[in-house]
Amino acid sequence: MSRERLVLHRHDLLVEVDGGMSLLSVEHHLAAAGGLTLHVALEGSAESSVADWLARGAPGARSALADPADHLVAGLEGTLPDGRAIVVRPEPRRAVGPDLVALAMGTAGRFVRVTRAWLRVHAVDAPRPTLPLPEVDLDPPLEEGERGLLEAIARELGAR
Amino acid sequence: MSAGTLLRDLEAAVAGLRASADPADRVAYARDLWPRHHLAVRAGNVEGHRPAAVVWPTSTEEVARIVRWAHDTRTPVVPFGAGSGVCAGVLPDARTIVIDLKRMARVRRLDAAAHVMEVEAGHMGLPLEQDLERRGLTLGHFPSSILCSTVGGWVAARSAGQCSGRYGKIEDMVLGLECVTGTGEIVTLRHRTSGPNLIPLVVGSEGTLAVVTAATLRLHPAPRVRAFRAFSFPSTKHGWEAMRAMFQEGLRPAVARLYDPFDAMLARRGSAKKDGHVSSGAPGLGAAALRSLLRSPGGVNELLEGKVGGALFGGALLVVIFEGQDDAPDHDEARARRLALRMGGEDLGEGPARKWIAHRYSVSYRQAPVFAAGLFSDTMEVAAPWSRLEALYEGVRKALGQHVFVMAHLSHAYPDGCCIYFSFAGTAGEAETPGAGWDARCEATYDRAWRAALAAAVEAGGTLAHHHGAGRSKAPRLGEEHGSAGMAATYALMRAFDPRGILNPGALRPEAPSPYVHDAYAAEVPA
Repeated sequence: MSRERLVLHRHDLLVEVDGGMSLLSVEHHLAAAGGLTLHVALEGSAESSVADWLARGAPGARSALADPADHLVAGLEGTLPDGRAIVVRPEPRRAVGPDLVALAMGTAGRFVRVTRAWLRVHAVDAPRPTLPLPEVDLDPPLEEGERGLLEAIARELGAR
Repeated sequence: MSAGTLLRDLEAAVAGLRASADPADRVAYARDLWPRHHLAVRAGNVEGHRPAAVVWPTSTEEVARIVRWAHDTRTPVVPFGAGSGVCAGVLPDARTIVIDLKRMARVRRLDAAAHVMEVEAGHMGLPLEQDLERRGLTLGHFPSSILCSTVGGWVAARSAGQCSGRYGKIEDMVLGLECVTGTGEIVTLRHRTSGPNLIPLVVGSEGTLAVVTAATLRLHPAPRVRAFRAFSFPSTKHGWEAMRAMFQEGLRPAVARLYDPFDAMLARRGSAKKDGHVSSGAPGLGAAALRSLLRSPGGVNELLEGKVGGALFGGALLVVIFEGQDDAPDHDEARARRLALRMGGEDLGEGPARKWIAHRYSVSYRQAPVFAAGLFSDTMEVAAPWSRLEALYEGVRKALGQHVFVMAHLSHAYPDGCCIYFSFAGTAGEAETPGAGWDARCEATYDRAWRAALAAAVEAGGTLAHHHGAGRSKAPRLGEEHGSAGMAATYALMRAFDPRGILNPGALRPEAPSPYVHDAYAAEVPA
């Protein structure tokens, strides 16, 4: 039985979306559901699928550093390079080993291809707490050691 | 190879290394603060899990040389902070070298204008925060263990502090990590908002991916203003609905702590005597009476959870503290108050919140008298989205309550869910084997309680750990949380960072043997 492409979990302020849905479509659904939004700057990403957008590191989404209690991705389902389905259940936070969501975010789909995601939604008119960001480069270039580790992860996961 | 030979080999490879194979040092580093260890020690099992040796490096390069030697000789190594973990994240064996990082405790860089500092992993928590406070800054991380934990330990266990509502958990504070991988390579990982970010893989990896040697942390201006308020609610659920509303409406109390009626009674009572001295924490009813009472925890729990408990203890207690600059904390507190009153809360004024902050660390250091009295105590921190919170709360509470006396508070809230922190105490139950002594029966009760509670958490769809980590105590259930593909991905990460599996082997691995009890957390849960 196919699953609904979008399920709103209003009590949790989460939306569960199919990875193939466009961001614009998600936003339309949220607006129709009653004044909700992802609060994402859509420029350049409106037609992107949720999967592609997360693979690019969710450009246009606010940094979690601005409001540390509020993370964009609560959970996801995806596919590992060997085809196995991986599930990171939606939870507010966890401390059960490496955060596997990091394998999907900003990694160009190399390690996990997202098929479903649980994303935080906001009331359009709700105030958003904002802490001042630290004055450092929040998107620095990759260090050599990081490149080596990414290659090693790719090798162990059987990715190209 | 004997412990002495192993150490001589290491000392030859790393000249000038401070090291010890002294029996006393090896006992001191044989365990963390997992309460199951305390039971074993009380029963006389002091010598178990001693490492081959302990080393105290003073630089990242020295750590790298140690790990390169361990890689070449396939020797297990376990990073060690202050040993305050409670999930058996540290469990050496006779071949293991423990790397104590506390001699690496320098602040390498502090940029007050940029709100960034780089600090070595062995720096203890409280002096770090005190130093920052003197400079008008704060990290915002105040775990109950702050007196006995290190920066590296926080990172390893994915720690949470009492002010997580405003500042987040440790994963929200780390902008960079310097670490040594299992091959002995020194790597620097940096936070990226939109590119590949390897930091979340190492944070919470409990020493299985790398030895963290330094962290670059995000700082905040120290708060100039705090606003305190407390509310009583008819039930715990009424209280958490108010917490949910606060966080979903954009309020971020630095502290938001909701106590169930019994825990609320303890919080109201406070820990200070009239002369200001903190009580010893010795069981007030008398150890013998308490042991007798806890022999039938099911009845006690049922009594206290129902209307009797509510009437006796006066409902659930919610404490909120807002902090920041200028009038923002007062403004937010007023909003929170209006919201809480609208949702059935009774305004208790500032008193309970001020009392809480005056004794914020006291309760965490009362375990020894409990064990000395022939009892045991422990905590379990789980989390779930708000929609599953009641099932998680009821499920775990009921599961634990059959074996031990249980109370709970909720102290880390988010817009999408919350952490539940169960505290429990028990004593010797029915003997599983005829003639089993007091200690063995305590251990059996403890294992039964954990077995049931972990199964209930999984069943309710909660996460097994919010900020204590999984170590070895919860690892047998990790497969049910992550699924086979999630575990495969975790193992792939371990191989990528540590090809020979020398870094804290056994932690985070469901198939690793459980210490002490072969089937401590068996997949099949006995009725």
